This record gives sequence, structure tokens and C-alpha cells, in this order.
Amino acid sequence: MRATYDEAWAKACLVAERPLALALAGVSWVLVPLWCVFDYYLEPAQFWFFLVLRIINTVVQPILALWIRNTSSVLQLRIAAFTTMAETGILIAIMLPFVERNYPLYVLGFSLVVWAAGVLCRGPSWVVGLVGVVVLASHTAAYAIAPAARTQVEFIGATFYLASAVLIVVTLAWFRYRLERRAFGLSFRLAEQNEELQATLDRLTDAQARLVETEKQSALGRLLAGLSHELNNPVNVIINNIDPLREYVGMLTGTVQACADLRHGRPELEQVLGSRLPELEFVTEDVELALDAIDRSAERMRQIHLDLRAFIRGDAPDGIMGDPTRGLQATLEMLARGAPDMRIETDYAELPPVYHLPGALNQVFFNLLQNAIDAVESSGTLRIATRVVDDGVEFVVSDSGPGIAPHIHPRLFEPFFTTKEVGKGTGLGLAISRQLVERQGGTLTLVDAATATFVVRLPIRVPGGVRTEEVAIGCPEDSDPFDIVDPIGTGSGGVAA
Amino acid sequence: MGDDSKTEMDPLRPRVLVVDDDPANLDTFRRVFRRDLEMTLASNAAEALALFHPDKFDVVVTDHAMPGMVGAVLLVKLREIEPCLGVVLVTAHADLPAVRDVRASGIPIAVVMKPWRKEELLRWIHQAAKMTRLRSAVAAMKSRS
Repeated sequence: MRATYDEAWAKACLVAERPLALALAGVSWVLVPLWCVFDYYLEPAQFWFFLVLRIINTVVQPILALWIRNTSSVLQLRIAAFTTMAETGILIAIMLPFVERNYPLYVLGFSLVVWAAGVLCRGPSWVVGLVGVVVLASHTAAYAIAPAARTQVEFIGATFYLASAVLIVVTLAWFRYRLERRAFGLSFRLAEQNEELQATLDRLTDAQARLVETEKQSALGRLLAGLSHELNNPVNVIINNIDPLREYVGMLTGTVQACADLRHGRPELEQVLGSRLPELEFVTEDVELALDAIDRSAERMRQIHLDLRAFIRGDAPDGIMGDPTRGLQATLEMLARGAPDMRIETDYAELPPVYHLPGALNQVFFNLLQNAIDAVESSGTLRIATRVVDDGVEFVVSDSGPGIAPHIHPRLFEPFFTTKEVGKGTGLGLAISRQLVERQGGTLTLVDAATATFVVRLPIRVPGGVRTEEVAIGCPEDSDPFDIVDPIGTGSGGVAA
Repeated sequence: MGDDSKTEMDPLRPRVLVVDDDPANLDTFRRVFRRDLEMTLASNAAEALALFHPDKFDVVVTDHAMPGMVGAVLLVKLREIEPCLGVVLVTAHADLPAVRDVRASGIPIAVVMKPWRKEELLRWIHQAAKMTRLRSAVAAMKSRS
């Protein structure tokens, strides 16, 4: 945090001090040569000598201005600002011993260097202080070189005036720099707190959205579970009544047919059967066809119902040991019904039992498969494979869609990031899926962006205290060889024997 | 009354008490297994407990999700009355805690998922009936010796 503060402060100094340092160079570049007009009237004897010195300043200042403009170091900027003033001061100090008639005026002009430094140097007070030292030193040096030119009183008076000016501007610079530093510190901490607040707000928004989404999914899960439960009995009744019905209808039509065969020569039978006889043939045929149609539809209904139930295994909140392939198949079956033109290539391997949360894992499969179906726009190829790797099992989902663009890749698992149209995706599917897989000790990664290949990897392990599925619980007294009667193959039924 | 007074069961036609709160399901049971089982129907656990007598039934088949007492609890109660009784639980959700508890308690219980198929359910009912017979025979031998 400290380094960040220093960096921010250095950047703020550069921004604030650079224009003022440029202004210093500019002022010097403009004002120093202008004084040649006064030289002409006040000290005509030294006009040319002074002019040469002023031209040197005119040449040097733009070079210093370039340095000020281009440097990225605060120290260099301050040295450049100091040099600007020092160079001007030294040049003027060289003139002073040669001033014959208007010394106080030239001292006043000389003191402008100090005042300019005081006003336009925003850096620390040592910059202004150094300028003051150079001004005083060069003034003293000038007196030392040509002591005859000035009276001692003139020199002391001028030195006192200059020293006072230096003292005033250094004090001013010290207070100003301290204030600026403190103000910067305060605003920096404020900005930091703002950032923290913003980050907290972002996290809260993210958490809230995940919560809402999870709640929505769990509400949907409960709704489906309720629906599935309500459908159980009707589905059971329909499926199991078809066979008795077929048998009974067969018996009835057989009986009627037998009566029809016996009707000749029996007017009373002829009268009872009468007009119904011509229809008997197509009724017999139609009843069979109708029963077949009901049978097929009931079987389909049963399959959908079983898939739905396998998918919503969310009502099993505990982790289990088992093969999650059935959940993957059920989820695929459900989604594939909505995209009949899609080609599906599957390659399922024999998997060992792994620890997983069936409902949560099916939710992950649902998200991955739904994304793949959206990507191929319901008419491409969807590839699903399972495989055993060193210490885990992998579920691989890929598609023949456009793939995932490189610039999207890094943001893929970010919450709210979506490339789908508004209303088609919340951008939370992959983020939540990764969270769900990690909760089961696994990983969810994109391994190939071109084919949008996602891999869900779950470790093979036997965690303590986890219910083992597909293993009958033994009882020493009874050892009935009961087994699981589970038409959907989730292995969740079973016998404790 | 000793064991000898028990009505002998027909191994091919076990006597089954069927419990289900859905009348359509009970009706379906009756229709589907008309020729295979000798059935008594009960529409809830209380009725089943009132009807039950160890000499009268070889197997109890019950739905799990029923108002009042659920099937899993009913089976535990029936097994307390008749430890040799064969029981079959029909349920849509084998993950339910009550079902898990029964399975964990060691009671030999066949859990059949709904919707069931006739052949499968019948197989488990016969299996349960066979076990009832064997257990009863062992118990009788023990009491004689």
C-alpha cells in the first residue's frame, strides 16, 4: 500500500509541478532578454556585455524547458526547475559588479528570481532554498570579485534584502508543501476507501445476484420435484392399466365375434347384434391401434418422467458415491427433445463410483449442454464423452459451434459475463457451475476454445462419512438376497438386507 | 394358538396386504395382480394396521408417501408385530430420509421405484413371500427345539 501511495504522490507531483516549472522557464526566457531595454538606458556602457549574457539565457532556457517537459522523474523535474532559476540568477549575478549607476534597481530585478521561485515552485522547500542559496552565493561572489564597484553598506543592504526574500519564500514553500502533502494523503485515503467500498458493493451485488439465481433455480427444482411427485401416481396408473385393458378388450371383442359367428339362424341374436355388426371389424382393429398408441405415449411419458426425476436429484442434499453418467444422460435427453435436428455424439466410458452431489452436478451438465445447444443453434453437432483419468473422472462437452473467441476466454467464468442476447442468459451459468463443481472437490475448465470443449473433472476418492450408493447395507441376522429394483437406474432404490 | 394353526399359504399365490392412499393405484394393483396374488387393500396406514394379522398375510406392499403415517414407518410397525413379515416399499424417491433410516435400521426391505413394472414388482413380492416362509419355518423349528 505504501509503494502505491508513493507512486500516486510522485504522479501527482509531476502533474502539478511540470506546468509551473515550464512557466518558470518561460518567464525567465521572456523577461531576462526584455531587460536589455533598461540596460540601454540605465547602463549604456555595459549594454553589449549584458546583452551577450541575456542571449545566453535565451538559448539555455528552452533547452531546460525541453528537459522539464520530457522528464518522468520527479527529482529530475525539480533539479531542472532549480537549474532554470539558478542559471538566471547566476547570469544576473555576473552583471551586478559591473552595474555602475542603478545598482538598487538591478538588485530589485535580481530578487525577482527569488520571488519567482517562491511563487512558481510547487515542490518541496529545498528547491526554493537552493535557489536562494545560489542567488546569495552568486551575489556575494560578485562582490568578492569586484569589491571596488560597491560600498560595503550597499552590499550588506542588498544581501539583507535578498536573504529576507529567500527566508519568506522558503517559509511559504515549506508550509505550502506540507499542506499539499497532507491534502494529498487525505484524498488518497478517501480514494482508497471509495475503492474498497466500490469493491464491497460489487461483491454484494454479485452475491445477491448469485443468491437470486440460486434461489430461482432451487424454486424451479422444488417445482419440478413437486410436479414429478404429482405425476408419479397417474403415470403409474396409466402404464400398468394398459396390459389388463388390452386383455379385457381382447376378451370382449372375442366374445362379440363368437356371438356374431353364431347369429345365423337365431333371429333374437341377429336382432341384438343388428346394426352394430358392420362396425365390429373396424372397432376391433381400432381398439388395438388405440391401445398401441396409448402404450407408446405412456412409455414416452414414463421416460420423460424418469429423466426429469433423475435430473432433479437435488432433493438429495448429501453427497453420494456413484456414477453420475445417468444424470448426464437424463439431462441430455431432456434438452435434446427441444433440439431434434441436432446431431449428438456420445462416448461413455465405464466410470468408477465418484463422490458427487447429483442435483448440483446435473445443474452443471444442464448449463454446459444448454450453452452448447445455443452455440450450434440447435442444428450442429454436440459431443459428449466421459473418461477415467489418473485420479479422477472427466465429463467432456464440446460442440461444432463457432467456438469461444480469445478475447472472451479470460472472462468466461466471470459472473454476469454473457455473449447471449438480453433475456437468453444471465451470465451466471458458468460462474455458478464452476462454484458447484468446486463444492464437490472438482474443477470445471475450458480446455479448447475453438471447439468450446469444457471438462468437468471429479476426483476419485472415498471421503469419510459419505453414504455409499449401489451397495446394499448388510445385516447380520437377515441375509435376504434382495437387490435394488430401480427402473431408472439411479441406484437410489435398494434393499437393506 | 400355535404355528400349526396358521393358514397354509399357497406359494404360487401369496397373500398380500396392499396399502396406498391413491384409489386409482389400489385399483390398478387389484387389476394387474388379480391372477397372481391374493390381495387385501387398505387406503392408509391406520387401516392397514387394523387389518393386519400375522396369520393372514405373507407380504405387505405399501406406498411410501401417504398422509398420516408414511409407508416406511408403517413397515417398521408391522415388523414389530411380525418379525418374519416380508415387506416391499413402493416409492418415487429412494433418497428420502425416512426410507434411508429404514434401510439403515437393518430391516430387510425391498424398495421398488414408482412407476413400477408388473414383472419386477411381482418378482419382489414372491421373493418377500419366500423369505417370510423360510423365516417362519426357522422360527417354528426354533420354538419346537
